[in-house]
Amino acid sequence: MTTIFGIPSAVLYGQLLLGLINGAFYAMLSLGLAVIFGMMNIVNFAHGAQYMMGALVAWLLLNFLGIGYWWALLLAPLAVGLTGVVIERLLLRRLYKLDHLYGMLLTFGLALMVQGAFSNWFGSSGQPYAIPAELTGGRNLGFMFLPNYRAWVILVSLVVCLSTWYVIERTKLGAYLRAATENPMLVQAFGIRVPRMIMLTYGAGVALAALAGVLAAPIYQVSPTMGADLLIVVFAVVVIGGMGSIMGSIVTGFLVGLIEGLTKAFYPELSSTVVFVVMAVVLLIRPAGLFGSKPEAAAGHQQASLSAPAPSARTQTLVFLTVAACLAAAPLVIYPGFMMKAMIFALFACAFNLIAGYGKLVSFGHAMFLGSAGYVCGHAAKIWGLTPELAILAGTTTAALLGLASGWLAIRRSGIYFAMVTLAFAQMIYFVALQAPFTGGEDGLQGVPRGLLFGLVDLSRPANLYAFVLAIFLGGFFLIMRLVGSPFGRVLKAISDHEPRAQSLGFETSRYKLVAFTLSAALSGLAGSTKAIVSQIASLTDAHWSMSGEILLMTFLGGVGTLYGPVVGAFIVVAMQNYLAALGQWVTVIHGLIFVLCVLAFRRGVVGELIEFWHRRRPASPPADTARQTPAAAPAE
Amino acid sequence: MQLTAFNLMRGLAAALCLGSLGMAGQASAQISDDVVKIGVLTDMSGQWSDMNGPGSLLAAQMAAADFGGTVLGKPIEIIGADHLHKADVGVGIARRWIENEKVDAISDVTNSAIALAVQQLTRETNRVALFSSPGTTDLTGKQCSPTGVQWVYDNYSNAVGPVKALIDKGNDTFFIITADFAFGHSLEKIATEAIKANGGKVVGTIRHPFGATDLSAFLLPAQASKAKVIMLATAGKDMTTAIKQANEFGVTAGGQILTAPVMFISDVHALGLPTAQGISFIEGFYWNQNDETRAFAKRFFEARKAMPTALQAGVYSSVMHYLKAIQAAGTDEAKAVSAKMRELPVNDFFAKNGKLREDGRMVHDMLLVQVKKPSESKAPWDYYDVLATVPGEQAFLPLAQSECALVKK
Repeated sequence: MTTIFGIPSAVLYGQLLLGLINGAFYAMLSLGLAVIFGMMNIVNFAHGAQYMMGALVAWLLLNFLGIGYWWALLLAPLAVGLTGVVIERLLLRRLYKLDHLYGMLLTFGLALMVQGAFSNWFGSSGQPYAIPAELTGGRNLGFMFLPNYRAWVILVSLVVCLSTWYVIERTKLGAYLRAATENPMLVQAFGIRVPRMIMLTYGAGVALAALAGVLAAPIYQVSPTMGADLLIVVFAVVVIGGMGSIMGSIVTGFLVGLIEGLTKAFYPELSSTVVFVVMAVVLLIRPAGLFGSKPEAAAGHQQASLSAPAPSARTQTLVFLTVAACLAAAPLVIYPGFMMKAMIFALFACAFNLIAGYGKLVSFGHAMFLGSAGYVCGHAAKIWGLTPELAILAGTTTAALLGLASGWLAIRRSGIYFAMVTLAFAQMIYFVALQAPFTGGEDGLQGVPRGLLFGLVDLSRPANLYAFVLAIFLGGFFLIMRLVGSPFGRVLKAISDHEPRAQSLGFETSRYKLVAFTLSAALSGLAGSTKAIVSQIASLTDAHWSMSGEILLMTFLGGVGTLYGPVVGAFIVVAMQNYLAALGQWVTVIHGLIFVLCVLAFRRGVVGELIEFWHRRRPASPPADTARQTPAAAPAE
Repeated sequence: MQLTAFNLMRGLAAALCLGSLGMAGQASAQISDDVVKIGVLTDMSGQWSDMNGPGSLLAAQMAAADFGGTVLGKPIEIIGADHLHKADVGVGIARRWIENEKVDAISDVTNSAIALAVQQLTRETNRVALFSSPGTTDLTGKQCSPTGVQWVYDNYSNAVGPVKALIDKGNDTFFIITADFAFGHSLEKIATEAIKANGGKVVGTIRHPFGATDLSAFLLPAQASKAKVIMLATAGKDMTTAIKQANEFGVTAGGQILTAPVMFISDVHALGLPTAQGISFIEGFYWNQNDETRAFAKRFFEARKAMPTALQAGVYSSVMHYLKAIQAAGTDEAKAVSAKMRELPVNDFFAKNGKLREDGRMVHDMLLVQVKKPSESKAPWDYYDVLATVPGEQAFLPLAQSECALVKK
C-alpha cells in the first residue's frame, strides 16, 4: 500500500472525500446563514434548530402521514420556511435597526425553546430515518466504499448552492435584494415592497437550513440536539468566508470540510477544533474573511443605551453598602450554597461587562478565562498543596496572562469579528483542557481541597467560606466600580463611543482596550479560581463555549453597561438553574422564553429598564424620549 | 465602611454556626428530619435523558410506592433534578439537597464527572449514593466510598464480557474506535487488556472528538484495517451515529462484526432494528426476560410509553434495596444503612442473589444479548436474543484486583 506522510493513500483519499461530503452540509448551512446575514444583518442563531426542524419534519411526515423522502425534500423546507416567515414578521422585524447582538439573543432564545420542546415530545436519543430505497447501496471506488446516498448529498448541495448564488448575484430579483440591503428607503421608493422581500429572504434562508436537515436525516440520528453543535462550526465557516459573502460561504464550506478531512487523517483528535484555528488565522490576516470585502459591515450599529445621568458618588457608595449588607445577611434566609455560586457568577458577569458594556467589545470566549483559572487554581491547591489564596492568585495570574496574549491579537478587530476571534481562542483552550493530562478530561479535576486561608482560617467551615466568597465578590465589584468611574473608565467609554475621536484626542486607544481586556480576563479568572475552591471541582463545563454564551446572556438580561445589571442577571440565571432544575426539559424552554421576552420588552436589561423608568418618573429629569434617540448617551454608573 | 462589613460578617458567622449546631443535634434521631428523602440527579434534557432521565425518576417513585410509601413509620419522598451535564450545577444541586433539603440518598447520577464529585460529597457528608448510570470503574476503585454503591454495570463488565465471547468464537482481531475523553480511554484500556489476556490482538485504534457530527471518517480506517471486530468504545449519540454510518458504508455487510460495550435498549430503539440488527453487547437487564421483569416493564410502560432501560430498572432495584436496608437497620444513618445493604442479598426482578461487595460494586448476573433481525421481532420493544448469561463473578472485576482502599487484602 502506498503511503503519504505515513498515512495509507487510500485512507487519505477516503478522508478527503468524506470531508467533501461534510463540506456539502457546511456549505448549505453557511449559505443560509450568509444570505440571512447579508440581506438582513441578522445573525441567525436559530439556524441549527431550523436544520433540526427540517429533519424532524421529514420524520413526522413519514411516520404520521406516510409521506416519503422525496416529498419531504420539498415539503419540509416549505413548512419550516413558513415558520421562518412568521418569526420574521412577528419578532425579527423589530430588531433591524439595533445591534446584531439583539438578533443573536432573540434567535438563540428561539432555538432553545424549539430544542427544549422537541426533546420533551420526541425524546433525546433520536429517531431512525431510513435511506430512500432508490439511493441505498454504493460503489467501490478502489480506495473506499462510497454510498450512493453520500454522492447524492454532494450533488444536491452543489446544485442548491450554485443556483442560490446565481439568483442573488446574477438575476434581477437578486439585484433588488442587494440594493435593498444597501438602501432600503430608495428601493422602496422605486415601488418594490422591501419588507415583503426581506421576509421572504429570511424564509428562504431558513428553508435552506431545513433542506440540509432533510438531507442529513438518513445519515445522522434525527434528534432535537442535532443542530446545536453544528451551529458554532457553521458560524465559523461563515466568518472565514466573509460575513455576507455568498460565494465565500459556499467555497469555505467545502474547504473547511476538506481541511477537517485532512486533520482526521493525520491527527483525528484535533478535527473538531481545527476550524477555529483556521478562523483565528484568517481573521488576523484578512479581517474581512477570505471573500469578504467590507469588514465595517459587521460592526455593530448601536446598543440600546441609557439616557439617565450617572448618580453621584455618594449615592453610589450608599447603594454599594446596602448591597453588601444584603449579601452578608442573605444566608440567614437563602441557602448559602446558592448565594456563593450566584456571587461568583455575578463577579464573572461584572468582569465581562467591563469589556462588553463599557468597552463595547463583546467577547464570545470569556469561558476560557473562567475555565483555565479554575484548572490552574484547582491543580495548585490539590497537587502543589498551595493555600487557597495562593492557588487563587495562580489561577488569576494565568487568566490575566491569557487575557493579555489573546487580547493583544483580538482587540485589532471589533464587533462580530472580535467576538469570533475570542471564540476561536476559547475553543483552542477548550481543546487543551480536554487533552491535557492534568485536567482529568471530562471527569474534571475532582476533590479540590478548600484548605486553610493564609494557613489560618479553615475554609471548610461554611461561615468562613461564605465570608471569603463575599469578600472576594465585594472586592472585585468595588474595583470595577472605581475603575468605571475613574479617568481610565471614561477614556474607555470615549473609545467605545467614537474611537477615531478618542484617538485624535491623543489617547492610545489600543493600549486602553488591551488593559481593559486583561483586567476583565483577570477578574474572570478570579471568579473561576474561587469557583474551583468553592465547588471543589474544575470541569470542562467552565471552558465550553456555552459558558461564554451564558455569561453574555446574564449580562444582557441584567443590563449591559450598568453597574448592577450583571449582578442581577447572574442571580436570575443561577436561580433558574438551581430552583427550576426539577422541571426537566421545560427549563430550556423557559430559558429561551425569557431571552426572547428580554429582547422584545426589556432591551436595556432588568436594571437598565429600572433606571430608565425611575428617571422618566422624575419630573426634573430631561425628556427621556429625545435622549433615547441618540446613541450611547452616558450610561448609568 | 470596613467596620460595618466586619460586624456583619461576625453576625453572619455566629448565625451560621448556630444553624449547623442545630442540624447536628437532630442527626442522632432514628430517622433524621422525620423523612427519608431520595434525590434522583440525572440528565432530564440532554442527549442521555432517554436512557435515564425522567424514567429514572419514575422508577424511584415506583419503588417508593411499592415499598408502601413509608419506612419505619416515616414518609418516603422522591425528588428529581436536571444536572444539565454541568458538573458545577450537578454538585451544586447535590450539595443543596444534602445541606438544605434533608436528602438522605442520591440516586442515578449520569455523567462520570458529576458521579465522582457526588461520591466525594456523600462520603464527606455521610449520605448514601446509589449510582445506576455512571460506568466509570473509579467509583468502586480508587474513588470507592463506604456509602456509595454502583448498581448496574461498569466499563469493566461491559468491555470484558463481549471480548471473551467474541474471541471464543474465533474473532480475535480488534479495531477500537474510542471516544476521546476519560470514559472512552478507560473502556479502551480495559478492552485492550482483556483482548490480550484472551489471546486476541488489537490491530489499531483511533480516537474521535466527543460529539463529532460525522463518524464515518473514523470508520474508514477501521474498515481498511480488515480487523474482524470493530469495537465502538463510545456512547450515546456518537455511538448510534457510528452504527448507522457503519451500515451505510457497508462495514457490517463486508463481514466485520460491530460491538458497542455501552449500549442500552433506548439506543436500539432509536436506531431501529434494520440498522441495529446483529450487534451484540452486554446488558444489565432486559425487560422481556421472564414474568417478573415483564410485570415491572408493563407498569413502567403504562406511565412512560417506553420500556425501562437497565439503568432505570437499576434505579428501582437500588432504591428498593436501600429502603429495605433502612427497615432492617432501624435507622437511616448512612454508614449503618450501607453496612446493612452490603449484608442483605439483592433479590428482585432485576437481580437474583445479587451481592453488594465492600467496594460498593453490586455483583449480579449480566446478559450477553444480540439485537434481533426485524423479521424475528414479534412485538414492539422485542429487541434482544439473550445469547448467554454471564455469571456475576466473571462479569465484574475480581475483588482481588480492586484498587479500592476499603477492600481488605
